[in-house]
Amino acid sequence: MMMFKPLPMQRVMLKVMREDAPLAALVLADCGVFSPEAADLPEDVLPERPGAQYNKVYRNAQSRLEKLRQRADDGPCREFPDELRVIELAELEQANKRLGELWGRYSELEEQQHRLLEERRHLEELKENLHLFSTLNINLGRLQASGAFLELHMGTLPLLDLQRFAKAVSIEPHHFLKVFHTARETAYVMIAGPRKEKQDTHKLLQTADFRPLALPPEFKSHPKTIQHELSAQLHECTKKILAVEQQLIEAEQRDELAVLEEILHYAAPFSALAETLRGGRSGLTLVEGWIPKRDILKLEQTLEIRFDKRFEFTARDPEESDDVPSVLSHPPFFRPFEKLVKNFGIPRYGEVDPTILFAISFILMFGMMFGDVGHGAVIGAAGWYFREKLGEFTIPITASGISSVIFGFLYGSIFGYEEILHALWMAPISDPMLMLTVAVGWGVGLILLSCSLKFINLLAEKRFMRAWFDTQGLAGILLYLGGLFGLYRLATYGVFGVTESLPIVIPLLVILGYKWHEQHGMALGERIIVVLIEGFDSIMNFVSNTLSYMRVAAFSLNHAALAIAVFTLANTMGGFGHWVTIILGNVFILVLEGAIVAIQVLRLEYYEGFARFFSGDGRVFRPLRLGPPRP
Amino acid sequence: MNLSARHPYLNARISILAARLMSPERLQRLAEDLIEGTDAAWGLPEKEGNIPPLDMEQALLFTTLLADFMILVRPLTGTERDFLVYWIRKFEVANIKAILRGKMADMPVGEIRSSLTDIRPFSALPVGDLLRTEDTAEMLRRLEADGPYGTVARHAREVYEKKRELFTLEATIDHRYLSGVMHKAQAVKAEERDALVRIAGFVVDRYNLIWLLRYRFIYGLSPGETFYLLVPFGPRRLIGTDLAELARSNSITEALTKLPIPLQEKLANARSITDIEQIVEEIVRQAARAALKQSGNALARAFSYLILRECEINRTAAVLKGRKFRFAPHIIRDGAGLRN
Repeated sequence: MMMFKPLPMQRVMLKVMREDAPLAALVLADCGVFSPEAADLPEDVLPERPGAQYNKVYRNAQSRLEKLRQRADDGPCREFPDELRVIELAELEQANKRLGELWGRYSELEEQQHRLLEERRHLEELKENLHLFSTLNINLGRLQASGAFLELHMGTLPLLDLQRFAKAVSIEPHHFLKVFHTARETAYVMIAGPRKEKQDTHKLLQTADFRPLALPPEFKSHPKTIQHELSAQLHECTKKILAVEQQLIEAEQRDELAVLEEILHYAAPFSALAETLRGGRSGLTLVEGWIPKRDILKLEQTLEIRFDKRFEFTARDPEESDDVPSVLSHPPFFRPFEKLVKNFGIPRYGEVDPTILFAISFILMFGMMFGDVGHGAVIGAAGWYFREKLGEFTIPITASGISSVIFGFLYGSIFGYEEILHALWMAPISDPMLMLTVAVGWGVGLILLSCSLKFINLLAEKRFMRAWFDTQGLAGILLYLGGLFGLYRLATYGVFGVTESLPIVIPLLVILGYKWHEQHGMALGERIIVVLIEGFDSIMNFVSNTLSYMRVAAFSLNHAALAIAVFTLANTMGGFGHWVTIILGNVFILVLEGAIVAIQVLRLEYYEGFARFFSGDGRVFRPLRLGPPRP
Repeated sequence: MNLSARHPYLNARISILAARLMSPERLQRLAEDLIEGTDAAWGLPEKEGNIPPLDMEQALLFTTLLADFMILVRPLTGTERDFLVYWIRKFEVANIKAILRGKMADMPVGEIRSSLTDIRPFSALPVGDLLRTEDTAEMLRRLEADGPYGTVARHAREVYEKKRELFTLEATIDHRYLSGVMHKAQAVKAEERDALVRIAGFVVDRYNLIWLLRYRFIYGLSPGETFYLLVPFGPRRLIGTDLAELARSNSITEALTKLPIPLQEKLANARSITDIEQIVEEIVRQAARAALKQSGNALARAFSYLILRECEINRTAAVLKGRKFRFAPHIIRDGAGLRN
């Protein structure tokens, strides 16, 4: 029964002395079953926040460690010793200080590297445009030295800013600008102005992205010397870059980082707990949170071993106003499906957990839509063969493959060939109408199941009016059953009289009445329109969702049809070509149709299934753990 | 086929949303009722007493402006969508400046974070990473590393290396952002471009005029440097006068005399740059209202709607904040740009 609902939870309260709080955090984290929660107490009761400073220091340190780790070439995840180690605030502060020094050094080197790389880019561009300077018939060395009255600047700026910069220079009195070259995204400019106004010129150059050109005085007369000079500068720059890169590697200090990481690993739980810890002047500290009921005893025993009698531990059942986190517990086979359910949403506490139903229906529907012994065997075998890479998705893939094999035997299909195996049931293409009927029947079953689950969920939430009278509740189920009954009578006996209409009309009137009641406060005309539209929507929803399941048959027919297409193509070829076409065709069916079928099954599960009964707005259970919090 | 013909849905949505905008008179009445404490009939959140002012602004901003924005941007694609998303990112540019200010002033991380605006799902700023940086240089390096603000960050970093002044840094960031607005507006398809550039031009020119006056006459920048920090584009409908010519002015009065006559007349009673700013903002609002009513261009209408909506929210939030801090009524009216 526990597999069909989130685990029963308990709200617990643990009181320890302040000096024991860090150890309590470690113990709780080590157990891995406690999720801290802010205590529901007035501010004047236990007003202190004992872990605030600790938390602040830890966050700072963790942030620095993460930045250093990102840059260091990380090896495999570290394993830490099992023995719990309490990290006092002083030790944590020391670690933070050291991380600050390490990061400060690293950041400085990164900044140097950044500047050197830009300088190198600049020199390379200059070297590329060297020919330009060699054709200028002026002594650039003289131009770069300002005279008594004239202030000269030569440099580059982004081409994008040139027009604006030129206009800005033109506004400054007695200044002029000369663009003597443009290359890619850079403009080479010369600016001259009166020396006495050099302050304004400097400010403008600083605000603009102007880079002065540092050239040797002999620039004009000796192009080869210039070439050598630039090459030397480039070489020097590259050497500096390599030196900085080497220093960056040395600055990683991996051994020391490992030690600091261990400190933070054990400091993490108390830091995480610090946000919810409350304390009083007496030295008492309180922590509250949630824990699965089945783990209470184990935790209590662990606390007794660690603290003897120096603690108080109480537990209570959740109250209606509590926002209880949900813990799902399934056998290993169903855990991958749990992830797919969580993709849609987290089951609310007390709500039906759809994981097992999802798993079974997913596997069955995939098999139905992709029934082929050969294709199924390939999928199953591939799932198993690549199990290390696929991880926990091995199970769904392999199980889907096996389901396809079973349906393959039912359909009598192996790699598209329907003449080799005798169908234990029938080939889909031999009776499409029957396949569609079966698919619709399957859909009806699933929809009724979803509606029933919704009804149970609504009762569990004590939303009784909705449970009995809404489309999503019992009235909706009766409407749907009434509709099916009416259709059955019409299709089988050709009659649709009072006996057939009443099972539809009565639940519909109940639903409309409920919706009318819900829309109180609205203007009369608007209320009528809203109720009628919602009523119509209720019916159309059932119809469209039911018909949606026809795709289960459609894809089984599609599978057979694709195989026919492949064989038709193959038969137009002789010998070798025939078999190549068969193989490639099967690969195409496996990959493309396999992916499409998986998506379609998920769509049916999420939209026609979950959306009907599953709110998915539950709270994730985040237990306290050793190490930094996981995202 | 223009956007309006391609997107009758968008035009219809804009018309529905525009019907909810308050007229200036109605906004004035709301503000007066809020100031006097007789606002019960308006149905605003009652107990803002316990909500911190920034949270109130955030709540108003997110639940109204961003909700409307998501509706308007949904049917758009390509350059039209790019423009509107770029526009809403001005809140992230404000966040970049807030983080810079916080880093330079060594503010606690929590305090910086609480001053930021959240524009999810359109946010592209790695706020967490930026807040974890130790100093301004590291922050700008991180911003430059990836994301749509790389160019802004690169220029800001270069300015920061030369001039470690917050003012120049912020001015550079603002300038780059607004240049981007005009660039994006000019990049939309030809059939949408003119109407959009017209209204975007009003908005950008409003900033040009106020920045010019502040940089030149409050911060004392040279004419050249002042001009460099503006966003020239053409043709300009609000100011009209060449910005370089305005930058050469030696006083506010001289600058105002160089403006087109109609604008001069409107600014005749302005006693300070703040007054000028409020008058020019009203001109921009009038242009936006006109575009919303008369333009057949859905993108320009959508943009105009967002301008007006944001203005309405800002003014309402300013009044609520002023009331919470118990400012005098005339100060609240001034702060919210309302008539006294």
